[in-house]
Amino acid sequence: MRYKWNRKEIFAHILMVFINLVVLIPLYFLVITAFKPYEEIIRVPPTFWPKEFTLENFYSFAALRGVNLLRALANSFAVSAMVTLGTVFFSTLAGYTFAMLRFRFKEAIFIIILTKYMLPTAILLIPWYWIMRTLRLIDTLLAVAIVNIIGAWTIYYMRSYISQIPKDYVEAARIEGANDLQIFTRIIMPIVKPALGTATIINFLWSWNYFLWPLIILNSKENFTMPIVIAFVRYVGYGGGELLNYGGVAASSLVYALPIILLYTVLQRYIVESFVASGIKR
Amino acid sequence: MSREYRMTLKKRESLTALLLLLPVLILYTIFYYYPLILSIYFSFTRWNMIRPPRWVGLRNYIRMFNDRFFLDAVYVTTIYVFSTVLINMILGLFFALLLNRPTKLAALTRALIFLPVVIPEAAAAGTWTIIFAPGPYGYANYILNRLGIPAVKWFDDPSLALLMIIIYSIWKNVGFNTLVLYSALKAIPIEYLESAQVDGASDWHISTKIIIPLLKPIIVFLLVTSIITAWQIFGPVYIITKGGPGNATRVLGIYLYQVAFEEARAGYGSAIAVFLTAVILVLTIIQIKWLR
Repeated sequence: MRYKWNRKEIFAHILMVFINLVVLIPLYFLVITAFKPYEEIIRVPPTFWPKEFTLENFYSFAALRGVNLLRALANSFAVSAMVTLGTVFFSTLAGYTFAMLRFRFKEAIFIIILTKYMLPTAILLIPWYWIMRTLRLIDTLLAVAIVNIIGAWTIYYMRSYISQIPKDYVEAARIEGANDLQIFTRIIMPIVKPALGTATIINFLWSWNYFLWPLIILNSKENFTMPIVIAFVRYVGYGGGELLNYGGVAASSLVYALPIILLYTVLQRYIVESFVASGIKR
Repeated sequence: MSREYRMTLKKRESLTALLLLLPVLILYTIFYYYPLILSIYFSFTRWNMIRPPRWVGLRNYIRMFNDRFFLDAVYVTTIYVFSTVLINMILGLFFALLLNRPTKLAALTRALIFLPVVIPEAAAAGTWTIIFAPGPYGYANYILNRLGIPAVKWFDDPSLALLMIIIYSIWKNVGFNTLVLYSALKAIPIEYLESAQVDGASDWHISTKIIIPLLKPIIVFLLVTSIITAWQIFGPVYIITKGGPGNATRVLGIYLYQVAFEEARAGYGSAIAVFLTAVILVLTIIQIKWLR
């Protein structure tokens, strides 16, 4: 069927242009604010292209109170790397176990693991804090990451994916004398590669968002991750009240969002499919 | 194969399973089961996180339902959840139908509308904080000004503050519903729609009488999961309003954080957390029943 342009279709496309503008204009405001000097940010009427470009928003607040944007970015990367690698690795092992091996209480253990996925983090925060104090891990990036290396969704996802591999493959290899390690590395791994990609992307995007738990557990500025800096920088530098440090908020938000925006431009289709398949956004 | 040999094989398999599951089981025990039990225990105690917890029975739960701040938080959270979930669902459905067109612009819009979904929450919240800057220099106020409305103090007016959070939430999340519904839409056999078109059904009729009933399972799923996530909102509110002005945007997540970690009332905080969890558990059970 050829596409027919009539009045209704034209209206639909005008609406699409409008939607795109609503998505992009806030981001445009974010970018220009990040490069405006303070005097220009509070100018009336606001400028829609910086009259004077400055990079001061990216470091001045930092020099003031000891927060370093690069350091925070590195901290965020460290947390996401630990969570993503740990979760994907352990969940693949667990997914393989649930999909391919026979053992007692298999279903029960699997269901108990899945309940993690339904419960809110809120109920774990206070005990986590208490545990971290006992372990002397307060104010460390390890504490931020380690509690999150238990991906119920990832285990569920890897199990479903590995279940699709015909059991005959594995049996045949076993009869020929392959041990579990060989079966896992030679047969399972090549087949689950696409699933590993999806799990890595999803876990990275999730962990990049962590906010409440790091807010609780991190105290020193050199350990802050990016979102904590954004929450913190707003009240720094210009005496509080109505005149907040919008430049600092813009610069840190931009630095924080940029890696994800770049990732999305490169892997757009793939990321959308992964999200839609996972059925969840958080 | 002798019986004994089969027994050892079975044993070996169980042993391998245990070995492979061990890291996950250890992490789950330390950071999930144990904290879960602790949390329920703490909710029956009075505890400032310094001295040992003291058993107080049901006192925290009784206090909760007489605590005006807690009830206000439940109220604010409920308003936030219902308005955002409803608006996001209606817009999501509408956008999914709108973007289900074979043109380049429709494909571009599908890609762009999902961008806010992947942008980290704190960055999106930071963006809207800047847009809603309260003086006449704020972008939102400037646009309102051009439309003939005087500058608004977004952060000082209780209903405007909640409106900001709702606007943020729609901008951030509507793309998710849109694309999930769009991909469900594409799975509907085109013959269904064409035969209806041949019968002379209007677009409105096709949408409401054919498409929406077919999408019902996914709509129910999206409704319940978005209620569950919205009910837990914390980060964006903390960044945009910190729960203010007064307690106008103090959602349950913010109140829990303030009680437990700013006022160090960990026993009472645990009771609030148990309440929050109970609500989500009920919603999850409804979802499982409903989807059957």
